[in-house]
Amino acid sequence: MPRERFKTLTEQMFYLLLCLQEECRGMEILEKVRQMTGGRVSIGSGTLYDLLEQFTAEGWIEATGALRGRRRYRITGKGAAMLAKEYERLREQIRDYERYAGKEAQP
Amino acid sequence: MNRTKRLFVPLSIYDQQAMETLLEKQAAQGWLLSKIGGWFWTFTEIQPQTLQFAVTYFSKATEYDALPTDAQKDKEDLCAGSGWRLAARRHDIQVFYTADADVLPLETDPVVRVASLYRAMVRLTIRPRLFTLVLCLFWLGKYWLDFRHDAIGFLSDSFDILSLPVWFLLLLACLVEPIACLAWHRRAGRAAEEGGLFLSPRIPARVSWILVAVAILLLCLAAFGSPLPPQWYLGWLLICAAAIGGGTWLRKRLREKEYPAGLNQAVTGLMVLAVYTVGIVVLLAVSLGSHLGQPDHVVAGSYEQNGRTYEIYNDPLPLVAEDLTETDARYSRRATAYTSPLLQQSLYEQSPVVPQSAGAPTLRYTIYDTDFAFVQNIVVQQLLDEHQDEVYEDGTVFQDSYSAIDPAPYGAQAAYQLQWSTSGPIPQYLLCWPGRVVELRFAYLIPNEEQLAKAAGILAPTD
Repeated sequence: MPRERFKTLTEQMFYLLLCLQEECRGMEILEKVRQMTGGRVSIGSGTLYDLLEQFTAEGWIEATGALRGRRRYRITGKGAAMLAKEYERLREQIRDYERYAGKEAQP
Repeated sequence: MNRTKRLFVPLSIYDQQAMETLLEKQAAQGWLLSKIGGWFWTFTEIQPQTLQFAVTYFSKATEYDALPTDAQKDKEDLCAGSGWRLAARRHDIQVFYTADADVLPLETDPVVRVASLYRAMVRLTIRPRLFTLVLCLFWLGKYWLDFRHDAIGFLSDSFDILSLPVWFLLLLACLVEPIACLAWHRRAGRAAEEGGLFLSPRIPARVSWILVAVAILLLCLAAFGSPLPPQWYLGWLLICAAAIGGGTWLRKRLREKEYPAGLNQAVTGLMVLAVYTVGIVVLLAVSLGSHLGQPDHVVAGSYEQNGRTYEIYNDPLPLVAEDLTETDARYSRRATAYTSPLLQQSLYEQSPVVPQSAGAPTLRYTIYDTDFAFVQNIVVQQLLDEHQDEVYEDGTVFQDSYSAIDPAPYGAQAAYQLQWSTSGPIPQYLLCWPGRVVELRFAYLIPNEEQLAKAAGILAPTD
C-alpha cells in the first residue's frame, strides 16, 4: 500500500513515530502522545491499530513483543528516516513563514 | 437468560452511519447487537440506554479464519483500553460501543480511516467482483467463439440467445460497485489529505442487486425456453444448492474446529467442486438415459439393418416427395425444430426405408424463419460460405459453391444452386424470401423446373 499519502505524515502519524523512539505498548502510545502534545493531539484506538498495522507493513516500525496484547513497538531506521524527512519539510515551512510572513510582522 | 431477537438489516456494508444509527436506536429501545449475520443481525435484550456505536472494518481475516483472530483480539483489547467495548464481530467488521458520551472517537485520522476502509473495499468488493467479471468475460468469449463457429446454430439456440444478456447484466453488476469504490477512494483521499474530512462512501449496492435479480429472471426465462425440460434445470439448481450449502456448512465446521484458514479454504473448495462435478455427471447420465431434451417424433414403426434397429418416423412435413413425383416407396419422415426469439431453424428429412425402398426420391430441407433482416443476412452468408470450396477431413478440397440462379420462377428474392467444379450443377438449392430462407436438397430425384417451382411454392412464406 502506502501510498502516495505517506510522502507526508499527518499529525497523528508524526507523533506516533516520534513517541516510538522508545519501545511502547499500544495503550502507552495513546497516553504518551497526549502527554507529548499537552492533550492537543489524541489518537483514537481504532486509528492507532490501523497505523501500527500499516507502519509495520511499511517497515517503519517493528513489533518486539511476541505475546498477544503485550506487543511492543519501536521505530526502525526506515521510520526514523521518514520522520526526519517530515521534520525537514516542517522546518522548511517554518523558514518560509519566517522569511515572508515573519518579516512583515516585524515593525 | 436475556431474550434475543433477529432483525433483517438490508444495509450496504459500507453504510457505517446508517448501521450506527440503527444500533443506537435499538439500544435506546433495549436491544444490544450480539451477532452480525449476512442479512440478519441478532440483538440481546438490555436495559434501554443511550449508547454510542462505531462500526470498523477489518481486512486481515477471512471467512475461513477461526474467530476471533489474534489480530482481531489485539484491536479489541486496544479499543477496550480506551473505553470501547466489542458488541459483535464478523471476519470483515467489528462493532464497538460505549456509554461514555465524552470518550475519544475510535477513528480520529481521516487519512488513516480512508486507507483502512479502502483496504476493506479491495478485499470485500473489488477483488471478488473482478473475479466474477473475468468469469463473465470468459462466457461472453465462449459465446463469441460459438457464434463465429456456427452462427445459425447459435442464433437458433433459445438458451444461448436468452442467456446472452444475463452475462452482460452480470458484467455491469460487477463493475458498478468497484467503480463506485475507486471513485470514492479518489475523492475521499483528496478530502482527507487537503481538508481533514472523511467522506462517507456511497456505494450503490442495490443497483448491483437489481441487475443480478434481472439477470436471474432472464436466466429462468432462458431455461424455460430451452429444449431441456424444467426438471433438468431444477436438478441443476439442486446440485448448485447442495454444492454451495455443503461448502458453507463445511467451512463453518472447520472454522469452529479452528483449522488453519488455508486448509479450510482448500478443503471447502475441493468439496464444492467434487459435489458439483459428481452432480453434473449424474444429471447428464440421467438426461442421456431418459432422452431428456431430445426432440419428440411420431414413431410409426421400426426396421432392422445390419443388426441395428432403426425407428421409422412419421412427422408432419410441409413438403413431401409425393407432392413432386409419384412414388410408392416406404418413407421415414422426420422434423426437428430449434427456435429462439431471433431465428427458427426447422430441419425436415424424408428418406426411404432401406433396403426395400432404396433408391427412392429423398428430400432434405431446412427452413430458416426470422423477423430480422440482419439475422437473415447472417444465415444466407453462412450457408453460402459453407459451400465455398469445402475442405474435407482428409484434406480433399471439393470445389463446390452456390451460384446465383434466376429467382423469378420461385417468387423469391434470391436463389442459388450448388455447383461442383467437376460435375456441374447438383440438385441442391438455396431460396430466399423476405423472412424465410430454405435450403433444399434432393437425392435420387433431379427436379425439373416445374417440380422445383412447385416445391418453392409450397415452402414459400404464406404472408
